[in-house]
Amino acid sequence: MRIDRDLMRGAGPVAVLKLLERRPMYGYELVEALATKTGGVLDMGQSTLYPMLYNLEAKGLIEASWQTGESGRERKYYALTGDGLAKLKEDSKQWASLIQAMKALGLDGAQAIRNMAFGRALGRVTVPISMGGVQ
Amino acid sequence: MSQIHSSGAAGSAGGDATAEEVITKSGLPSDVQTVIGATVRSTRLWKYERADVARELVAHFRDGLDRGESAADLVARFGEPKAAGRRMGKAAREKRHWLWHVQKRAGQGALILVAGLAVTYGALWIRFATGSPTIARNFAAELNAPTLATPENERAWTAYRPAIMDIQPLYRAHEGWDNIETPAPGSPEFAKAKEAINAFAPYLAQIRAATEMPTFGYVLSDSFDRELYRATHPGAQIADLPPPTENPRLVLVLLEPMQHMRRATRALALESRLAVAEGDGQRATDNIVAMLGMARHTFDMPFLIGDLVGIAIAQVAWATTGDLIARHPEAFTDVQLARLAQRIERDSGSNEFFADPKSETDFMDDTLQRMFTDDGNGDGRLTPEGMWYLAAINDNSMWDNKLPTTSQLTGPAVMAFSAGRKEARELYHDVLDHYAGYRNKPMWTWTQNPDEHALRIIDDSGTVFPMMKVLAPALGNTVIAGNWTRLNREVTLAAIALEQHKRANGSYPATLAELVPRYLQSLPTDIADGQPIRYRVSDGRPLIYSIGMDRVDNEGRPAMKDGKPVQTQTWLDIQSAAQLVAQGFTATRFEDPKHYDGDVVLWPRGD
Repeated sequence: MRIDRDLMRGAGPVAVLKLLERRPMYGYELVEALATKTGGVLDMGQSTLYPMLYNLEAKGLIEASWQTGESGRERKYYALTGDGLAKLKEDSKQWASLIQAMKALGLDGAQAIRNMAFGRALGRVTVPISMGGVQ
Repeated sequence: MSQIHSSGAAGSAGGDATAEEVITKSGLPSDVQTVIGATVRSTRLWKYERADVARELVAHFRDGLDRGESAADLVARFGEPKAAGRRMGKAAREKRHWLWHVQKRAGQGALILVAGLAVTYGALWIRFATGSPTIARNFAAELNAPTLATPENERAWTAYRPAIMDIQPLYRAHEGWDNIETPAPGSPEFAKAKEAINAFAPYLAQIRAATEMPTFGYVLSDSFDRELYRATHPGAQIADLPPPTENPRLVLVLLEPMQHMRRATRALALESRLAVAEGDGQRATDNIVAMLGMARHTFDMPFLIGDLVGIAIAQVAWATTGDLIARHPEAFTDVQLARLAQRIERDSGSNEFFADPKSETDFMDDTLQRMFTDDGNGDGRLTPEGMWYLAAINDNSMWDNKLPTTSQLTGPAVMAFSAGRKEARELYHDVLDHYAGYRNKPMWTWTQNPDEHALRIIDDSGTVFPMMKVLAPALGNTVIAGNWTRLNREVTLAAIALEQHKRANGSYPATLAELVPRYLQSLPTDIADGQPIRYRVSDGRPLIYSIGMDRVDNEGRPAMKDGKPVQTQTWLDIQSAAQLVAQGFTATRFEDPKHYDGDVVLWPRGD
């Protein structure tokens, strides 16, 4: 399942920060990890990933450096900064609260988030009544 | 894994290679290179930033190919290159130094400001360009009405005109005649002057006859009198002269007679001098009386210029009278002296500088009706023709009807800041009233220079109307010149009275007061300090003088300028005069302070 672009705009950066929490990674590695570790849910095109990385770098949440791997190949690695770590902690709490709230409304995580994204596109939060939510 | 460098640093892992070089040397499949190239181009980043993006994408696609993905799959998953490039470029620019962002914001702000100004100016320009004046009145026709109601054979100009046309070839044939001042009998100059005057004689007789006619009768027009023009400009292409306009701008009305009247005056003055030298007082008197008649006619011309030229002609008549009486009093009979006094009283006595400002207000109202729109309540905004007036007056290019490009561009701004029609008219009348106040107030009572005072009135009014300042100084000089003019006329009458007294009593009086009332109606007043005009008799020779603007009586020692005695002085306030005297006439704020050092000798003027 692919995530709506609006929703990806909120979830994507947190996911990237989370992946970089363990170690620095390069672009293709991040694309691959996002696709495989989320079961394809956060499989974003490179045309989305790289601008996102540049934005995070501009905000000082990650930093980039060119490094040569063991294969002798040059790659640009992205690493979490102190600010990035703090931001990740804060966002993680918010996501946990959000998922909790969605569950309380009878939505399990991914579906609830997807519906929210559609609702935002319509200018309001819409939760289908059939799923125990309110409109 | 070893670190090569930080991406934030200038330059690149691949040295100074350009994005294109990085892509070409990557060895990636051509369709991948195309995608990377299109993406990088769309970023619109700086050169080294593009190279950095190119390297990162090259590494990305290599990794994908190494993982066993096909080039086609990788290209498909990458997304649309141009959109990707734009997003990457936008994001990458966010990483730039904060100074760049400040510059960018400033640039954007400036752009918005410029755009806003351009839109505002565009709106103003439309308002300016669509403004057209309503020409409600034909002032030239109104001014011409009395003349046109006068039978043609009673208009002096119809008599002057043929004589002036016929005398032109003779003026040219006797070149240099008008530079002869006072020729001594027997001198070559006398002979030359005599020859010229003899040649002019028939036409001067016609001119003298014309001076006796009651009105001048010149019809105002903005077109040259073609026959007169041909006579005065032999060989000129009169076909090129513009045709007359039905409702001409008063600013373009031609006052052709002015120059011809002045030249004829010089001929009459020269003949007077020759006549006196030959003992012919009657002919000299006739010529002086004719000059006074010409002055009277010239005063009939509307506008200030008529007054100015009329005064100039009268001045020549008075100066000639005073000079001839001083040099050859015996040439005049008692009757001739009395006639001269009577004609000076009649033909120039009632004429005051700027006495009737109506034609000047007509001039202004005509100008305003062409410069501004008319909202029906006396107000309006500046029009393109208004800009033409402003430009033409500044550049003295009244005969070029085309509005300069710079004026077209600046017009809307000038319109936005310029006074409206009503405000401009009110200010003009304030300025005229101001000058009228100075005209009616004796010069020795002034505490301010009328021009400087007028400029202050204009500045203090807050009204922005550039023409006003162009016009104002001329009026101030006119008022000052008017004071000296009146004084010269009174002194000329006093000179005649002194001669009459001498003939009756055998000597000049000890004071001018003795002339009043038998020989002189009233005692002239010195315009410098309001006291009776200064008079001395030294070695049996009389002298009439003003103490001048330094207010120091130098017993008739004349102030000099360019080696000649000064005949008028610009007004000075008392404090400046005292300062000038204390500093020995060296104050640098005056162009020529020395010309205040001494008196202004009014009669006899001497050579």
